[in-house]
Amino acid sequence: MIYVDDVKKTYVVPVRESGIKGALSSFIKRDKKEIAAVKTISFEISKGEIVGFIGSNGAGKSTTLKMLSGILHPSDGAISVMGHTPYKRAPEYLKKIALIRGSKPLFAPADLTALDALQMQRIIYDLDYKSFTKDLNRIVDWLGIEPYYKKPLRTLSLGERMRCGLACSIVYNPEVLFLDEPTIGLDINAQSRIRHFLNEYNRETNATIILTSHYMEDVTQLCERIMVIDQGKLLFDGNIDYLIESLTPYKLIVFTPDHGSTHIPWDRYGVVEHEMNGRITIRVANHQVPAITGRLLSDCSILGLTVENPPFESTIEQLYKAEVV
Amino acid sequence: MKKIALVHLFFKTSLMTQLPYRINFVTQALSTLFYFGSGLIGLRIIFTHTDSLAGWTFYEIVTLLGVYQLIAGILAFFVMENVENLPDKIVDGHLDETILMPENTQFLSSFGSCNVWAITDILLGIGIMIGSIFLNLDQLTLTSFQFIVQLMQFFVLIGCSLLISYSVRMWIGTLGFWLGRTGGGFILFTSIWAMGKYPVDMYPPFFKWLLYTLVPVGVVASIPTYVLFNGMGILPFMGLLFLTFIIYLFTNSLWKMGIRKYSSAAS
Repeated sequence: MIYVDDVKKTYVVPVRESGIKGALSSFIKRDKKEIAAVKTISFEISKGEIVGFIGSNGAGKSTTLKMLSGILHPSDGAISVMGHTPYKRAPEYLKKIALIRGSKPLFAPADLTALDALQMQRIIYDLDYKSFTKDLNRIVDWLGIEPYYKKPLRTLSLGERMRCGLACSIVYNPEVLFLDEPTIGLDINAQSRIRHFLNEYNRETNATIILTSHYMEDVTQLCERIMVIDQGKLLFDGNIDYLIESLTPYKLIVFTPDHGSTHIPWDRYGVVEHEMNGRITIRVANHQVPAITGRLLSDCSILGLTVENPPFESTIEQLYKAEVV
Repeated sequence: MKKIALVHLFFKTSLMTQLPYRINFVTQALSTLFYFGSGLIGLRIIFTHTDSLAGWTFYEIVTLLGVYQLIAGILAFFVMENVENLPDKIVDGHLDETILMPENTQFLSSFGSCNVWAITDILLGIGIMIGSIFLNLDQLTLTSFQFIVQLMQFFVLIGCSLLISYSVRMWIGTLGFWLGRTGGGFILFTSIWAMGKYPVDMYPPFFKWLLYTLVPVGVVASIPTYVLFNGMGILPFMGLLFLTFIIYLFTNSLWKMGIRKYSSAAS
């Protein structure tokens, strides 16, 4: 479905020193610098997969998405998506993909309504009028944009604009969705709705979804497979549970003891991570979790107890420290 | 067919976004009238001292002003704003959405939005042209066949003028792929372009050469107007068509080369 083979991308960017002196010297002589945004990455993605692409700012995530969608030419290597070479931007290819950005979900002028933007898509993507009208009603219901899809886009909240942006993208039934930080700036409810929708779209259409995000919730809730990119190199490509198991081989036991048990030294059960408002979090090796939980429940009077995975952020932090898995 | 539907769509969406701002219509209409009126008054003063200017009569030059206004109006209506915004879009990485649409990117970048109030220039230009043709019927109707040929040549050359004017502006915009913000080029071109509202024959030889070759403003308004009144031989006429075709091909190739250089600065 998607094949990326030894792909590199370098940019030539103008550089200058700060201040008026730098501006003057760049007016006379312009210095340029070559920056390797992506340094040789290779991977394959099968149809119907949802893959999370994570990494810090400037790691090369967006550049990779731009090469996959066809905006940028790779400097080296080969990319094939559904048998097409993306940078050739054949209309048949562009009709099968969508690139949606959380920071700018809609391209239409702000004075237009989402319905106007959808009508624009009908002409641009050569959609049959009858099937467009039928699909439109379904999409409006599906994304829940009925209350505001006839209002000017400028009056919509970011979450509403994002849902309208998704409507404009799925109206032509793309087989591959490239999502660049789809939940950026959204509140928790709006994030959750977008994630729910993406899951449903994938289930109903078997579309392939590749998303970048700084919100680990997006990745942990949507993707079984993740790719971690750092400084233009792929650090990890595989199952998310495997990554957590191998890099953070421990669980967090979170419990609330009753008032009679507060004197107990909890470090005898594991490494104490937090102690706040009577809630205690201890870190315990995976294989010790059943035994420690049993001991805690028998030794002390516990009001409530849960076993949790460590935060995904700490796994990624570990990965950056370890460099290679 | 799809391209016509798209231009219609761009017109409709521009109309929807610009109609609420009625004051822009008033300012544009006043600016059109002022621009044309000042040119006309200047001409009237000159023609109180002479019967012709570089071989052109007063009515011929007024027609030239009308043709100039019409061409400027059509360009402003459909493409000017889009092409002039190109360098900034290239540098700031705002061509991404356009590039990913299943349609010719040069077409989409040239016709993305319309300046609907430029209709005042178009209407005035058409009005002057029609008025001029009727006022000069005696000069134009040597034979009805010749009149029709001249009229046909005139309209074809208006088409060529539009393509050439669009192309030169597009070159400046497209150079943004290599040179960054080239907006200053539009200011320079517009200043030279304004020289085309008078007969190019009246300028000194160097400017005349410049306006027929490097910045072909002379080809844009003077030649069609001259042809309307005097006609043109088949050979130079075909030569102009060929020249327009070459210029258009070059514009397309330059765009294709440029788009390969696009680096999509925004994330």
